Amino acid sequence: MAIDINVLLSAQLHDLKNQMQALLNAQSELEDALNLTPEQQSLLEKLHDHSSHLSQRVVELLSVLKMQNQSFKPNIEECWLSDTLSPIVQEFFELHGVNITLDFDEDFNQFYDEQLVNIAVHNACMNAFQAGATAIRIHINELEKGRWQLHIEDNGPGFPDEHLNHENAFTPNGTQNGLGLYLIEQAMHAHKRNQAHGEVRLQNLEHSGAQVTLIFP
Amino acid sequence: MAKIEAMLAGKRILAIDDLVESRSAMKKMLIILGATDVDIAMDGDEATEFILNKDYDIVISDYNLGRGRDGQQILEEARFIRRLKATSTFVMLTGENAMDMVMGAIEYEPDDYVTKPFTIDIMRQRMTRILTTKEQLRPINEAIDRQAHGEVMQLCDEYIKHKPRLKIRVQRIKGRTLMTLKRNEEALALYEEILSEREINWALLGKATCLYHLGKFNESKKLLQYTIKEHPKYVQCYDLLAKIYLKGKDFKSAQNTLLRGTHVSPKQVLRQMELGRIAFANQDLEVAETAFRQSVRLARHSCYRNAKNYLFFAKSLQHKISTTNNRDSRSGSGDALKALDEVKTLYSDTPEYLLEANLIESTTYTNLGKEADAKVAAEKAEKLLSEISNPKSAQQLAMANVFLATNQHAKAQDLLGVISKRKDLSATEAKELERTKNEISEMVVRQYTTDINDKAIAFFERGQLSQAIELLDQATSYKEAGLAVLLNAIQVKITYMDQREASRKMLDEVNDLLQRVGDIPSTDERFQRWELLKKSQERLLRSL
Repeated sequence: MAIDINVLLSAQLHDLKNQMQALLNAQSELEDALNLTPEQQSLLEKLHDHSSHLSQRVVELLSVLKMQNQSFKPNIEECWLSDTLSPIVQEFFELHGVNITLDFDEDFNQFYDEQLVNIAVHNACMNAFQAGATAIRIHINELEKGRWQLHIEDNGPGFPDEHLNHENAFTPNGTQNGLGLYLIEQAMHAHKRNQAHGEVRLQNLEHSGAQVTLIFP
Repeated sequence: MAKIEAMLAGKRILAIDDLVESRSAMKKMLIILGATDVDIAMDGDEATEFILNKDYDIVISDYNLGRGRDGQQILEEARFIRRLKATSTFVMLTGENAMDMVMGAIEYEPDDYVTKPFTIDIMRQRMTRILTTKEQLRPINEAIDRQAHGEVMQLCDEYIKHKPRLKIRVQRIKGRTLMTLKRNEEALALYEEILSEREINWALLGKATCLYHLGKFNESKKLLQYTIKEHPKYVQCYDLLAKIYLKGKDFKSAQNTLLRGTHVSPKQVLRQMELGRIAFANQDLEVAETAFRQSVRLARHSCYRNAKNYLFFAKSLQHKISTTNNRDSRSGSGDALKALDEVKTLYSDTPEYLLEANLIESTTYTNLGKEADAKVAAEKAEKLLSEISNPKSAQQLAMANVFLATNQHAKAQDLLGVISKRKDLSATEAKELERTKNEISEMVVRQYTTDINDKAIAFFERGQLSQAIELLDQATSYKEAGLAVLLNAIQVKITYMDQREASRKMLDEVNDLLQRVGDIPSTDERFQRWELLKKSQERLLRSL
């Protein structure tokens, strides 16, 4: 019997995820048990940040794997955007020193798949960071009948022209940032309402920097 | 938003997780966040115990709790028995993604889900959000707890108008309240309004439920089929769809629909029970057996525990039991007798259940070929039936069948006579009565009357005429009583009157018996005795 690679991957990732959780728990036990100097404490916190980042990535990989499945259906629920995004804000500040500003009402809530939006925003921020951005601003536009847009602006160099015009920008092997953009596109496409799908739009800001817009149907 | 520490301090909190590390980690996390009163439970049984004995403000449960009931069942039961108020908060912890969660009934959904793994920061943020929202909805939830539906409606309308961020949650409460008030037309309009903006699973089910209550079964069915296609984990849809099939008397489709529902969510007791009942009626005993086995196991320590579950389970096992002593038969009879023992222990003060348990036990032994044991159980059942003041026809019919199975045909016939006189038989029961009557063997009844006759002769020979008369009256009450029995009955009565005095009543009885004997040809060896008895009767008549 041939091995179904997806089943195998999924099982391995689940195991990884559980191991990561155990590691995180052990770290916090350790923190409680030891009387650490401030330097040691800071090292342990770093360890914890990286572990927790790894753990998040494993969860993300699991979701990506699921998205590839034919029968995949997103889990569209009412969520609070600031709750969805604050772990990303924290992670980018702690691991990469990037400041992400959430520039919208703390109580803003909408219907979306939290995991998918997390993947989309995380990848957009990662692209920005890798391109050299040091600050990111996230804001929203509320349109009529529950439609809305999420903008991720950075202070980096902006997208190269071929990126903006490249029609294969969103394929897995499109351009340099292909996989990231491909995942964002996939995550948005899964959002569907009354026959309309979610979209991604790329543009450069007037002076400098890039803007990724996630359009929710 | 308010500080989480202030929101958790003094609140009665129950945390449920099957893994010991997760349990203690969660308790620790809650205490760091400001909780002061945290109980922890390891499974559904322990959680139920806690919930029954203490009013909790917040329950946080892992969805997956290993082999026993899951978090969803704990929530449903707690709300079902009204041990968890609308103002209290239930948070479900789920695996890597909530999309794998089985959605429960509209009225039994948790306030929110938190996806694992989570850090203390995520927990702080989530709990703050959940409790803040819950606090904002408090006036509505307090009105729900007071069952002040009018007030709920009024508050819902105010919230929808003035608090747009809470609109969808409040619309959901309003829809539910409208359905409680049986204002289905209005509820339908509300769900349609919600659906025109966004296809939300609970609004789809809400609309289908309204259509069902309004008698629009076909429309409801189509919508449910669509919803199941789009949201295969929304298990409540299977239940309603099955109900619609039942209305249309399509029992097979009802069974198949519920079967699909139990594949999605195997741990829901009420659904397993319903599936078992329908499968049993469809005579699909394999399915019935599995469903009842699950119900018995899942309900054993829950508020859904029910004698009928055990009894049906034992009944659904009978198809496996035979005299061959193979593995199926051994395990089937073992399980059946164990379930019946549980009924006898748990429901020892309910004669109806004890009666049914003994009847099924007797059938189990009959199927095993253990006649003596079958008879012992039948006798216990007979005694229990005699103690029930107004037995139901179904109980009497079941008893009659057990009499037949244990070769007590005469008793069966007596009981069937009683049942025949009842005016409250359903069409099915009347059919069952006829079927049972046809199974009575004349030969067996005649044998029975002959047995009584032998005992009567013994009394007669010892001169105990009253006892002899009593027994022979019993024997001759069967139409199958033979000629010898009839002649003996006449003989005893005449001897009795000869020794004491003739009575009109007894002479009439003798006359009836002679009528039943009819003419005996002179070639018959009993002719002379018959002639003699007739003459004695005439002599006694004259002496009156």
